[in-house]
Amino acid sequence: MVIEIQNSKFKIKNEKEEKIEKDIRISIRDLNIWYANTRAVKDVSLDIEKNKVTAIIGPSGCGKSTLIRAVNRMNDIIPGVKVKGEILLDGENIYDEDVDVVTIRRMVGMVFQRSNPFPKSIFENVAYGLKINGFLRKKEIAERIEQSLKDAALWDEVKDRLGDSALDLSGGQQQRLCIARALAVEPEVVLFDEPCSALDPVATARIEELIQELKEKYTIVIVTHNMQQAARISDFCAFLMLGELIEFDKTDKIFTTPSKKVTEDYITGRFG
Amino acid sequence: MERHFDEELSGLKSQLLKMSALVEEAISRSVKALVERKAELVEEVIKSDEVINMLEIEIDELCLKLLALYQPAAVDLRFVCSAMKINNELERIGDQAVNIAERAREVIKEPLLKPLIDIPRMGLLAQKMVKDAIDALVNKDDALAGDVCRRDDEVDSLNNQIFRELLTYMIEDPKTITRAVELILVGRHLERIADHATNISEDVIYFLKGKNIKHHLEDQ
Repeated sequence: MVIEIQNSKFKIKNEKEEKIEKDIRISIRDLNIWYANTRAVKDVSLDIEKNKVTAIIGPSGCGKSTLIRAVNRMNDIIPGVKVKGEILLDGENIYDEDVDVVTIRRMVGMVFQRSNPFPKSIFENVAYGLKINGFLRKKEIAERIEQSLKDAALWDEVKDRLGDSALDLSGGQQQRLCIARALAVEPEVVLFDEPCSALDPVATARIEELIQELKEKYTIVIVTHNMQQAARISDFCAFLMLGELIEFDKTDKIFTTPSKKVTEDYITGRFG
Repeated sequence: MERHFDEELSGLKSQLLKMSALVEEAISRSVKALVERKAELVEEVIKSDEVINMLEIEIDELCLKLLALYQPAAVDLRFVCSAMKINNELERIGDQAVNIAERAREVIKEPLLKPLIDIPRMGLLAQKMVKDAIDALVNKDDALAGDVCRRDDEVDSLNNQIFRELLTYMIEDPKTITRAVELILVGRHLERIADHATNISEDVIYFLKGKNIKHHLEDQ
C-alpha cells in the first residue's frame, strides 16, 4: 500500500490500481504433461518474473517436480513422457521443434535434491560445463570458476584446495558446488528441485541465504516440501494439487490470506 | 485432520473467554459501585484487575509460544495475532473499569448530584459490546463483529449527551463542578471501553475475513 500525503489528507492507493510493469522471464501456457496415460500436470499457466524467487509447493505427487523439470526439458529423457502446451523463455517456446535442447539447458540451470558432484576435483566439477560449451582459454576458465564459486558462497572454503576431490566436501559444500557448477555457464534461470531436503538446518540456512543473493542476477524457481522455506525465501508462490495449479500469488498473500480454502488447508496442515 | 495445534488454539480461546468474563464483570461492578454507592465494590474491581493483568501476561506468553513452536500460517496466524491484540484491548478495558471505580469512590463521598440514568445505560451498552465482540471471536461470527462496530456511535452520542447535561449543571452552579467532572470522566471511560470493544471486533473481522477494516480504509 502506498500512502501519499495530499492537502494534509491521507490518500491511500491500492496496489492493484497501480500500473505494474511485470518483467516476465518464463511464461508457462496451458501446460499438460503425461507419463504414459497418467496426466501429471493439468492445464497449468503461470508467469515467472525476472529476478524473483518463485516457489512451487504442494503435497507429494502433485506434479511440482514434473513441472519444474519441464522448464529445462529434463522430462525429455524420461521414456513415455508427453508434453502439450508452451513454455516461453524470453518469449520463445522452448518446445519448438527447431530449439536446441543443450542451449536451453545452458540458459536454464538446475540443482537437484541430492548433491551430485562428479567424482573429479572441485576445479574440474565447475569447469566441466564450460569445457563442453567450448571454453578453452585457461585464464577465462579460471576466472569463471572463481566467480561461480564466489557466487555460490563456496570460494573462501575451497580456494586453497581446488584440486581436491569434490567428494571430500561436506553435504552442504557439495550442494553449493553443484550450484557453482550450474552458475558457471551463466544461465538466466536456475531451477532448484528440493535443494535442501538432504541438508542439516545450518547448511539449509546457507543455501537459503545464497538463493536470496542469487536472485539479483538470476531468475529462481524452487520446488520445496518445506513450506516455511517457501515462506522465507520466495517472492511468489504457486500451490499445486493433483497436477492442477490451485493458487498463484505473492508469497505473503498466500501465507497470510490465501484466496482458496484448499490452499489454506494445505499450508495450515489441515490436509488429509 | 485433527491437529494437536487445534487443542492449543482452543486453550488460547478459553483463556481469552476467561479474561473477557473478568473484564465484563469489572465494568458491571464499577458502574454498580457508582450507581448504588457501594464502596466495597470499588475495592473488588481494583483487586480483580490484578488477576486480569496476570492473565494478560499468561496469554501473551501463550501466543508467543504458539508462534515460535508451530509457525502458524494463514487463518491460524491471523487468529494468534488477533488474540495478542485482543488480549491487550481487554487489559485496557480492565484499566478503564478501575478508573470508573476510582471515580465512584470520590463521587459517593458527596451527596448525589442528579439521578444517574444515562451512565448505567452506557455501562450496559459498553459491556454488551465487549461480550458480543468476544462471542463473535469464539463463534466465528463476522456479522456480529460488524454489528458491534456500528453500536459504537450509540455510546458516543450518549457520552455527548451526558457531557452537555452536566455542563448545564456546572454553569448554573459552580459548586457542582467537582462532582460533575467526575461523572463526565466516567462517561469518557465508558466511551473508551466501547472503542476498545470496537477494536476487538475489527481484529475479529481481520481474523475471519483477512480484511483490515480499521480506520475506515474500505470507504476511501
